[in-house]
Amino acid sequence: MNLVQYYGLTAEQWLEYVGFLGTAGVALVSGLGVLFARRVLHAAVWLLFCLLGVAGLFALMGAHVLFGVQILVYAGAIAVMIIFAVLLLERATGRGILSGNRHLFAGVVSAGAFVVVMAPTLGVALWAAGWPSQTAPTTGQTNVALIGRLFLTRHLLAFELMSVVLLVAMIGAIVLARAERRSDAEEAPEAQGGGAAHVPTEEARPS
Amino acid sequence: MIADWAERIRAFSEGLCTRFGIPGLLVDVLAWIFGAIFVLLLITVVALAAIYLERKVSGYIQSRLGPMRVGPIGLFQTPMDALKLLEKEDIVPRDADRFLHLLGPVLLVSATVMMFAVIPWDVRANVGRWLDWEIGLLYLVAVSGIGMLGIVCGGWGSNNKWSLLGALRGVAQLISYEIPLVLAAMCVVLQAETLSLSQMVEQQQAGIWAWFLWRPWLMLPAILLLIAGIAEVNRTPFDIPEAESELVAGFHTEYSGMKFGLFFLAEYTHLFVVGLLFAVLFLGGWASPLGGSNLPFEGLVWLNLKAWIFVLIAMWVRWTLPRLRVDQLMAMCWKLLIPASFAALVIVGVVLMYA
Repeated sequence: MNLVQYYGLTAEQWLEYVGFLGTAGVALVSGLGVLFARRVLHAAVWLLFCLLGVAGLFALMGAHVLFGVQILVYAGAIAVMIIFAVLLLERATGRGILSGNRHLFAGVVSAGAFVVVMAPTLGVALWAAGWPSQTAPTTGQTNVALIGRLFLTRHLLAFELMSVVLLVAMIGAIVLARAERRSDAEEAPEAQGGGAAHVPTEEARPS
Repeated sequence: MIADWAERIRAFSEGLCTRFGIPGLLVDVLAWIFGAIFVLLLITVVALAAIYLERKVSGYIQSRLGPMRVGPIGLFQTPMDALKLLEKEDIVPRDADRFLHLLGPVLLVSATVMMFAVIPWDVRANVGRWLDWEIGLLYLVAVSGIGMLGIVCGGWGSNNKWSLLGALRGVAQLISYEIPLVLAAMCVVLQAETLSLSQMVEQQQAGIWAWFLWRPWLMLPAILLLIAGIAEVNRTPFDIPEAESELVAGFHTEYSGMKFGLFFLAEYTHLFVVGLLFAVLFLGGWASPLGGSNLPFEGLVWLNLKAWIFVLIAMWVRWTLPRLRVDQLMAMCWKLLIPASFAALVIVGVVLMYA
């Protein structure tokens, strides 16, 4: 173990520091991108990078399973679903959807309120518990085994309930989609054929 | 053992660093950079070789010779084509969304390259390091999901109805076929009791009969992974996203020059990664079929050979079978492959519980 210090930090701490700044920077900048993008699709793509940045933070904390799940579920599934919804909507309406910042004042106020409520809470909690110095699990087991065991023992009920909820959501989505398709086919059979490619109504570029 | 060459290179560079007073952690950083360069060189060579092989295989299957003019037996044909693509004009349609048009190929290629991070190349090449993750397989599946966003960005950003249709079909197909792929891989996870790819290989290194492929209850998952893997890289029985007869070229209709080249690079690299995954899960990864590997770099050679077997099978299938229709494609996935893979998961679970 090399314990040479540079400006008061070991090389390992420096690397962690730089890694944290990098991933947090990606998450922050792309979060702002979500806010300020004019096209909804651009916002969705920025959201993808934001979620990837958060995944990087998980990886830095040694929470590897969370890292994988974050990418798989949020970046891989939810971002894809949002983009898909936008794509189909734009195709159905034939014009680009723009997102404005119309409720700027209300947004700033509610964000400020959130900070005012959360900052003292977090501060008090941290002050009471002390800043955690070690994040990686020190037991011999891997993250996967630990999480799997907890799922099937202590949190079994929550785990099973979640899967039932997801199953219900899935079946519900199928039922809704089927009903809609049937009524579509009765009303306008040629509706699918006439749709033109999307034509951007606005030449806005991302800021 | 001579085989842990990675360990030796590491020890050597560590000694070098101690002598010159470089902190130990920089050794890791240097090793990551060398690894990244290795992967980038590898995918370039692999993509060029795979495209050449594809042309030759298709030629022989159709009673032709394939490329013969440039270089001996046409060996320089693909490098020359790559050079041509590099110097071609990069055309972006006027009403295209420039940001997304550029992001498409970039996302697709970077997702494919990121998948290489957890491939166990050789005995202890990355065991216990950051990249030998306990979540290796989960990471691989998760990262491959980012690639389909590249397809969407490219297809939507081109402002072309064929591109958009190709992208929509592509994503629908990728999402659908990911389910049997993951479920088939889960069967191997049940058998190996780990998500780490190098630990899976370690359980199969006793020789050819220790491969997971020969366990009777793992044969069905192997076939499912083969089919879903070919579908996952959009190759011909499943190449609905770029069906030439219907969609011009699908999501990359509006691409030219090197951006078009990047789509091809991603396609063939992805094919190779799926081959590597198949080799690791079922064919013993870097383990020699004779059991144990004693020569330096032997594991690297074995793993590559096994992955190329998958690539060759994929090419053979591509030039033999006709393309499926969209509805047939979806029906095959949802009505055949997914029930079969659930059944396989149950069978493997029951067998492992009582055997």
